[in-house]
Amino acid sequence: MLTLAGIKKTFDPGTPIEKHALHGVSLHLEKGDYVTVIGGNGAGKSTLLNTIAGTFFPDEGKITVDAVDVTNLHEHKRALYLGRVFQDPRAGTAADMFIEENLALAYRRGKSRTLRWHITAKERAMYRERLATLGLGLENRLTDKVGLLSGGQRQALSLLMATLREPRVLLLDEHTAALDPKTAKTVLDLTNQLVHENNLTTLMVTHNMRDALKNGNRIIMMHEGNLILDVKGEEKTNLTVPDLLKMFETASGEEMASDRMLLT
Amino acid sequence: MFILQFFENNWIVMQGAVSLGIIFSLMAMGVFLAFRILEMPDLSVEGSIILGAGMSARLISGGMNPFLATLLSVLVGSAAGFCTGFLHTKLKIPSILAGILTMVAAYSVVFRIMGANNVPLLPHGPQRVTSVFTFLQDWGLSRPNAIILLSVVVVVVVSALLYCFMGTEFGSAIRATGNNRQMVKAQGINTDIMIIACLMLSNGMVALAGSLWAQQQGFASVDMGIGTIVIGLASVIIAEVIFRPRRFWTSLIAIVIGSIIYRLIIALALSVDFMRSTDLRLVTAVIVAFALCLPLLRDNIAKLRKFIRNRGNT
Repeated sequence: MLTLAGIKKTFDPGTPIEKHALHGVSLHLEKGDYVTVIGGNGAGKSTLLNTIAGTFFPDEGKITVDAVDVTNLHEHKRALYLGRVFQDPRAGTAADMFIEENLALAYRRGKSRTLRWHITAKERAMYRERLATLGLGLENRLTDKVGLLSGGQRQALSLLMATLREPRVLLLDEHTAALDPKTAKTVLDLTNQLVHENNLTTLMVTHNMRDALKNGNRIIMMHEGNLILDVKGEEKTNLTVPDLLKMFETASGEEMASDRMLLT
Repeated sequence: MFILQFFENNWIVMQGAVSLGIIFSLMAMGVFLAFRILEMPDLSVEGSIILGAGMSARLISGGMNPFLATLLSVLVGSAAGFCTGFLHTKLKIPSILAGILTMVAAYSVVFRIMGANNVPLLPHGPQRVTSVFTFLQDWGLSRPNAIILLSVVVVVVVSALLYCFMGTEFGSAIRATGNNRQMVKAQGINTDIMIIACLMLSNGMVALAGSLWAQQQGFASVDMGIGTIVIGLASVIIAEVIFRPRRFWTSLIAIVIGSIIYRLIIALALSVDFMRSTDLRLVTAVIVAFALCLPLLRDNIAKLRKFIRNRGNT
């Protein structure tokens, strides 16, 4: 469904702050794969996701989604295939627009914007139904501005928007990191529900090792721009946090630094 | 009371202020589109108003049908908006600078179009000024009434069209672009196109205002556009401070009223004996500064009241 072949990316090449963010990453996701991505700060997790999304182009390598080569497609053209939720709850929604307007924008993902009215009565009913499944009471607030919602509500709405038109690949970039633990759990449960119901191919970056182990059918670990671990299926189910730490040390040849990964 | 008396005694001044206010509300809506909807400070507005005025003056004085001339003027304004949008989105020039570049270039272009600093609309000798208002005068309306009537019709039609446009899928994408470009890209929308389209629309409306303005006063001059952006902002801010509109259509109505109020304030200020007409821009700047700090003033007055009340209690 999603294939990365030898993706390389260097930021600010030829300057003192040159940073090799990705060292030739290759990865293949089957349809329905739910992959969690872990790694320390600066490991290249977000760069990986942003390269897939087209925020910037890789220096080398090829990206295909569902057999379509998207390597040179602009961000807005790739959006046809991708659903995205960002770390910042404000990033995924338009704050000054109504909930229903945000959903209507997302419902037309990958379609050209015409001079037809931006929303239809039929859609509105459908949005109300879908919002009700979130269990947050948003179904009665269709014409509230999104800026009035809490971070968790906005993130839940972003998730719904990303999956409203079924994406070939769902990209989640630490989408629970900015939320309090309870809200984070709610949003994660909702993520699992949406992913399983629609059998979505998903790539979820997280800082939380336990979340990474508990969710999904496959886990990959990144370190300094390389994939250093790729475990799936039953082997993944039996993994524990100490196992992961040990595997990290063997693979990277260094001890896990005292960054956020250890604390969570 | 003084104010009412002033306007009663100066009926013609007031009529002029109202008609200018209505015409300039089109410009203020254009400024609103760029500054508030797109959240992009667009200074090319200064250029498009004279492009609209100069183009109309030249074409009408050359004998063209005023309606056709007005339409062409709008297109020239849109072209200026396109330039700014292109400079900003495709050539990655910061929006303020992109607007300034277009504005500066527009001054030269207007000189070329007009061929002189000042172009009157009189085609042949001391006849009646030919303009879009002429046909209403032929029906027997006085010139000031003809101007007000037609301007009102134009403002109503344009704002209705604008409202409908902003409710379409395309318009909705433009509004979202002003809100959150990142999100809009993730929804598969080309933000560059939305920005360019919105600036073309906004500058087209400003040029329409410029065109009607030239036809209202009977001439166009190269320097008439200076300070336009501040006048537009003044109208928008007056509208926001007084009416606090929450929806798009209430914003549009508020802007029309705000634009008229601005003109009345100016007329009133300039009626004071020692003021000269060249003080207009100074007065405008003061009004904008005052309107911008109103929320702060309001807070402080509330605090002061509370303080006095508390002191009275103890």
